Amino acid sequence: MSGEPMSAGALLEVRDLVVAYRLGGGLRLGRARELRAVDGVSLDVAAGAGVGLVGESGAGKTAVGRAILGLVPIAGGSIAFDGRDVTAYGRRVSLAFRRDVQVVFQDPRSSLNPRRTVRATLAQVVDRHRAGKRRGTDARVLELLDMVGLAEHHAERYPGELSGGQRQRVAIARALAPGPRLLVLDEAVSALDVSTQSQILNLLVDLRAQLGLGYLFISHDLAVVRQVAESVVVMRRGRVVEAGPSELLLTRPRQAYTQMLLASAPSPDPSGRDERRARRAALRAPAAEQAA
Amino acid sequence: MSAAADRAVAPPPEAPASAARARRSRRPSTWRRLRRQPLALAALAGLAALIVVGLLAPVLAPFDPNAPDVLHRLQGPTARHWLGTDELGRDTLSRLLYGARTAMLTSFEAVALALVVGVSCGLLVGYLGGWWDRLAMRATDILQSIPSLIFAFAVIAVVGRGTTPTAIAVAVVFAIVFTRITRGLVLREREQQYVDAARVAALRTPRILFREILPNVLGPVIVEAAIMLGAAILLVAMLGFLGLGLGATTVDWGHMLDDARTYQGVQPFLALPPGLAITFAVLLFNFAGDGLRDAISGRAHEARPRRGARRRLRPHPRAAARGTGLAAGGRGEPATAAAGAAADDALLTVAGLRVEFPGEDGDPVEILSGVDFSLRRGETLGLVGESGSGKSMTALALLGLVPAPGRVTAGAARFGGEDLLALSEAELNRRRGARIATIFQDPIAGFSPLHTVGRQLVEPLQTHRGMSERAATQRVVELLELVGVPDAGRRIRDYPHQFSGGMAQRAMIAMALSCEPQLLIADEPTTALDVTVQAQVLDLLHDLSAQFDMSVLLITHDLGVVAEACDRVLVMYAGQIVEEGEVERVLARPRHPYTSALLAATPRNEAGGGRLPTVPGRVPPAWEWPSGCRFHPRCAHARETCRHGVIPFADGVRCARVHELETAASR
Repeated sequence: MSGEPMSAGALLEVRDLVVAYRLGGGLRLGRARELRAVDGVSLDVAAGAGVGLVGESGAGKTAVGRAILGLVPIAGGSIAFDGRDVTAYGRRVSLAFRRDVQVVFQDPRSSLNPRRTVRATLAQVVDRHRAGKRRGTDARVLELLDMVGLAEHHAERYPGELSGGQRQRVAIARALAPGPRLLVLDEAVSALDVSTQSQILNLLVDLRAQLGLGYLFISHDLAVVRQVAESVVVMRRGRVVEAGPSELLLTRPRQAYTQMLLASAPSPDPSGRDERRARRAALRAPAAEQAA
Repeated sequence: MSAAADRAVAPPPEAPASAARARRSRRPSTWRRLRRQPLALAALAGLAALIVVGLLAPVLAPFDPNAPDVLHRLQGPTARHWLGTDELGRDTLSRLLYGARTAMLTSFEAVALALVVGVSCGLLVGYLGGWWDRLAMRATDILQSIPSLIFAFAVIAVVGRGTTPTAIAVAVVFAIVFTRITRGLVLREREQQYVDAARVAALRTPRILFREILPNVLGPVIVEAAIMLGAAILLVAMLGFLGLGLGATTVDWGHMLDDARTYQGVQPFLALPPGLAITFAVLLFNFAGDGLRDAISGRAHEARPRRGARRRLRPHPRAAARGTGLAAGGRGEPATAAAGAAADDALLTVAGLRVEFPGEDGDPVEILSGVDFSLRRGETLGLVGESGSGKSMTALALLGLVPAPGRVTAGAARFGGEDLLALSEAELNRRRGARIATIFQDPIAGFSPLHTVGRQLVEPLQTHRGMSERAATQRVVELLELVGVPDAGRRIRDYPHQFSGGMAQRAMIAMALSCEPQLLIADEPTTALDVTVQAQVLDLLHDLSAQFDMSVLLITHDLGVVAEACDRVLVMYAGQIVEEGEVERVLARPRHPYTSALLAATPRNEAGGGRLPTVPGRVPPAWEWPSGCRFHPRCAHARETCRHGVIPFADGVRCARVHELETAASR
């Protein structure tokens, strides 16, 4: 286990998390083959902190997020929120935990129900988390829209009538609706154009300052992670490779894998590209030897 | 690619500002597609007529359907009995009309019942999944293995005869089918993130099922229901024919047919009316159902082949003049630096390329407005812009693949002494295979899943280069090793799905290189790949371009990719090139405000915390492109001069204020 907990008494504490998928379904008895998507991951998110979770596809970073949200069953380890054990081995997750931890997914096209207006989408979440209090739903919906930079008239739109950036704003508003303390942002800006991406990143930075939210920011893009996260956890093949403060880890990584990730990230600065190419070639050589 | 096309085709050009109008513009697409299918429309009209006839049978029928008239039994058509009489002298026309009533009532009752039960079960087992799902599916397997008629016999044996028992018998059979269909749709829908989001929002399960998922699966289910209504009519008729259907006083077509069979020696005409009625009713439901399905899925509209795109080809005289004027550096817009550089080392010179799509009300919407550039031998040229800028459309136009109903209206693309845009389909096909190669974003989709990767790489070599199978195979293995596919000799026997994304993209590149093309058009070749793999593929393209003296047109949205891989770059915005130059210069000292804004908004691996500079708004759709500089509504430096007229592309940049801004910046 290489992922050292970063602080004591954090808002979210994940310890030795294991998520396993069974390969092949059916009624077959006996031992099914098992794929460990997450294999002993530990990480902490302090209240109001931004933690980046980076890695390539298949590294298990999305599975960590889904396990925290109780969307996939956990095969081992524990998750604690605000000091309480919230490990959901089965399906049920408490309403209180749902209020505290919310999610924004990558693709706002698929994460909003195409057949419901923005108002309907937001209102049902608002209502669910303020049981009994029917009044004030409209006001709260408008307040949420305002928080994410949308206008009142957007409430009557269907997702299909909105741009990608606007849809992602709606998804963020929905996540804010219960009044959470932690947001899991799963590649939340990866599907957006550059100009929209920067708008949403700024919105996330503002919301965090305004509401004191903690972020678990899952992304493959190191440059984006650096904008919103003070600390980073690097994952590979279900395990934590390296973890530490962004400043340190994204400038002087210790592990070869993190170095490779950094050298591979395209930078809009062509002056150093020959150097970067040479560096990548040098990093690849030992990796190939290892594989052979 | 189709994003731009969709946007150009779907909504109306006047671009509704109000939400209400926008919503209305979204709905009719299903109806529009339905309107284009005369057969389905006729079937729907026929069904409506059938329902009206069934409802009004007591009014329309000239006789009581059960009143015997022994003096006029087994007659053919007469003036008094238009369709003749049966063995008891009952009027066949009246019985046919009442039969329609029975058929409609029973089948609607049956299908409605089946819908309610089947859709509920399907929703539940699809959503719960796991053991629930497996048990329910095995149960339906067992039930479906029993022929539906026998199953109906059993139900009737239990609940007795009559309209409702028959409907129940049929409903049980169909409910199983609805369960299966709904479950399949729910399984697909459950993967959508809005369902996960609803779970995280702690919405209650019934709410998720009925308010979130159900509306999204209902469309296909309703279509299936229309087709099932036809099947229900058939099943009810069969039961009636076998004498197991309804009571003695209820008229049904199946029973009529059974009577006709008994007396067919005496009056052969008797079988004709009920037989035709059953056939037509079933056909009507099937045609209507098929039409609805196509309209909802949009198949009837989109399944058109792309060939139509190349119908044009004799450009509009005026447009052609504009195009050539450009290339020659004549009047109108001044010649661009790119077109000017169309000297000896240019492999590809594109001038005045224009592409149009028909808008909603027939007015054409231009989505490429005079694209000019040249590509030198051995050069990697980046084409960068946000989605909707027209960069992919540029590539498709060069390849003769503009999706219908779009078309190239003007321009020339000189490639090795000939105009690509003027070539016939067959000629262009030859160029595409041998001298021009392409790589697209999704490598797996570029391969056929049915054949091994090796076979798909070997065959082009045999056809285009006339190599023997052995020589071609050997060459393919060499190429795969060159692009870094380990153990290539064995991997050529694998199927595309056995390749990872990065390996498939390498194989795609190997395929593109196999005929040693002079020009490689790569549209977002690394967007779907991981960063480390992306870097490998870009490095590979860089090496190979040098090794084969190959020119690459690299289309991307990422300025980082441009910086890593390109020699020169074109920046596109709203169907126009707005800046062109060497990568080092453009990324260090961008001249167009859009390039600067894009560059500033690109996150770098630098200390975060602060706010990123943003570009307000987004690329407008093609029918909303403003006059003057198309970027002016989003530009921080826009002045009155930017809002009108044509802003020429001069000296590598399309900006009216470029000199002012540069002077101001240098001060």
